[in-house]
Amino acid sequence: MVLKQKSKLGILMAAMLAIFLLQSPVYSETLESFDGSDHTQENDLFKDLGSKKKISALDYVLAKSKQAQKNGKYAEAMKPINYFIKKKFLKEHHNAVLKFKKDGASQLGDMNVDLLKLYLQKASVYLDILENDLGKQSEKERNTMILMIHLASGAAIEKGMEEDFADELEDRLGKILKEQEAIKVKGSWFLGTSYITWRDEVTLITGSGAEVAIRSTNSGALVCMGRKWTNAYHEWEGLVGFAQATATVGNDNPSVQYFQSGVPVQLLVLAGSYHHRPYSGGVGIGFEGGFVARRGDYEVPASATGIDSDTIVTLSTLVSLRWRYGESSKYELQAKMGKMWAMPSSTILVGFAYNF
Amino acid sequence: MKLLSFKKWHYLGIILFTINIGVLELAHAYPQFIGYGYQSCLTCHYNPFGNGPLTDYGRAVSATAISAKPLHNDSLSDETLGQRSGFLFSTPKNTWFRPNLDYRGLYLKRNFGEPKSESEIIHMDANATLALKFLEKDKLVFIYNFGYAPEPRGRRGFEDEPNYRSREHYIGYRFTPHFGIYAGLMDKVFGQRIPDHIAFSRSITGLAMNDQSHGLVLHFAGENWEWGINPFIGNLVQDAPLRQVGASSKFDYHIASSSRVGASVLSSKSDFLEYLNYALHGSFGAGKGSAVLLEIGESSKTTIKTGNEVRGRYALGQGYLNVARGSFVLLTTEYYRQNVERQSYVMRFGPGFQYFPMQRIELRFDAYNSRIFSDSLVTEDTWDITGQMHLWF
Repeated sequence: MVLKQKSKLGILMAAMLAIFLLQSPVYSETLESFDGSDHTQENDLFKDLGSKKKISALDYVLAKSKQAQKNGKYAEAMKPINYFIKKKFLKEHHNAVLKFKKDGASQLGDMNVDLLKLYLQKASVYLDILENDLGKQSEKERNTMILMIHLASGAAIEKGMEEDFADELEDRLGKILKEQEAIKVKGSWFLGTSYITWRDEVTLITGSGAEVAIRSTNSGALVCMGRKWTNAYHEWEGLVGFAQATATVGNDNPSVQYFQSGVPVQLLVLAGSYHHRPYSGGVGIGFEGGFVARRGDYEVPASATGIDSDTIVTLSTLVSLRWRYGESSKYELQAKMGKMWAMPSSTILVGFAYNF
Repeated sequence: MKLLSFKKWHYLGIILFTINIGVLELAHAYPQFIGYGYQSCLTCHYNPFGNGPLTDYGRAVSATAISAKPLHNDSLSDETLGQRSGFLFSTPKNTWFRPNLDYRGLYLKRNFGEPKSESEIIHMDANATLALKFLEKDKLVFIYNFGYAPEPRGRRGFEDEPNYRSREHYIGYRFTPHFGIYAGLMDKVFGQRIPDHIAFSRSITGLAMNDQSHGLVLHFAGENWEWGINPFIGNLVQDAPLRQVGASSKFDYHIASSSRVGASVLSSKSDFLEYLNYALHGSFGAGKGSAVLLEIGESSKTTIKTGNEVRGRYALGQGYLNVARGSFVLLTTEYYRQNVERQSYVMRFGPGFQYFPMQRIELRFDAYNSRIFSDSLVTEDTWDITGQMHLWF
């Protein structure tokens, strides 16, 4: 009776052991046994890894993936992970993705630990891909990667496994997405108005044919519009502008008496600019260059035969500063200082722009 | 502003300066730092309207957030820099004694690029300041400043004027965080207190580097506003007839975490001249450490003897752009119409660069392009360039 009981106990224990072994995360089969291919290279990996003891197929796959990830070979890093999931956890994987899409991580249930390890490694590789191949993935690929990263971290936190690593994954993803958003170039139209002042020069032709340079002081208003392409760090812009100004023109050369005030002067501006945005903030510093055409209604004095250069075209180069009241503000204060090449002294603009 | 010979009590200043290596008026926390979110001057200064010596917190902010670090070992953390931000690189050993030294020198080249161009070096300020603070939260402060100050440019007949003076000495007591009274010699409470004393907003309003006045400053602070009332009796070192006696007031409303708008008014009178100034002003933070300061105002000056009143109008726009820690590109735009009844006016444009390579060192380079607008004459622009070195310890 005792023997029979011992025998039953032994059978029970053997059965429990068998069940335990079958459910153990230590797989009895090697990689060769389930994909049937040559794994000479992978076997070399064991040597590379410095491991002489026999490891499970899961550990092997994870080690192989991590090794490739470390070398920046992300496709290679994904291949064994995907293969293993396909062969061993296809159904669970599909269910997990469907549940996560529908209800989030809280409804994933008691996920298989091995599948979770694979997910975490997969998420880690995806983060590297997103980080190093910024913007090169299609939107669909990118969304799939982001989904799997959220799934992996969410499942790990739900299961209480590798929670720090899961948090780290989410932090990294947050930073990557923020950076991707920051470098995304967006186009927009703008409209601006400025006070503008510049020194100018026209040439008076005297009765004797001599040329006398006459200086003028100009000030007025400029309106401009254009398109800009902006990300958090850089700003490129093209604009066309028109200025209506008045000039005081005068000369105290004893040979020519000439003075005029309130002379209507117009400027037409075609320019492009680049601005750097330090601290990815609402301010910018840069350069603007372009073409300027100027004409003025200068009167020819009785002592002269004409005015040369009442219409000129010249180049302009300006240093430009801009401040936005808040990073997302549509209003911008702009200040520019520089030179129109054919004109003496400086050109200054101070004004506002509205970004649509 | 004519100074009398030293009065007896000013010898005390000399003695303090000599034995104590006193303290300097410090002006190195500027209104532009609203771009870092510092709304109130009182955060970094003992004087609630700015200027003068920095508090311990102000020194630490200067070391850890505003100044660059190229002269420091990379391993030095901001925390360590903050701890070393006290007098002569020390950590304060007590809670009440805060000495300070300050020097500001200027290289000036006038009429740059012209045959008549001249250059000179001006030691604008070299002074010592002693700040004593007592009671909980430094409720009670004593500030004394004394040092070298050059004779103001463009003045004749005052060559024998002493070159040593106190520009600030006062006692302050804060009854609550929302109310404090300060009594002594201080800058008058009005407008944007920018360090550029040649700015029209300071030079034509009687608020330049030597225009401090003895008086009271009452400072009220609410959650979103600040208000100052400043009755003053003139600088007691001056001859009595020259003293500007009057009052000023300034109100600021904080419209956002790093922006404020406000208004100021000042009325004062001596035996010879009467001032009435009023201004609207605003400071707007933009981006990290960048800011735009604006002020528009009028200043009426009436000559008592003749009753002749001249009303001038001015505007100031000063934009600071923080390009890297410790580095600011700036552009100052100024407008000044000496007499509103006349058409002519002056505009001055000043691109510049300000660099704090470390706490205690400020380097600044400016160009000033002045242009006269008139319907009766055409004049050439003038260009002046300056380089400033400001040291404080």
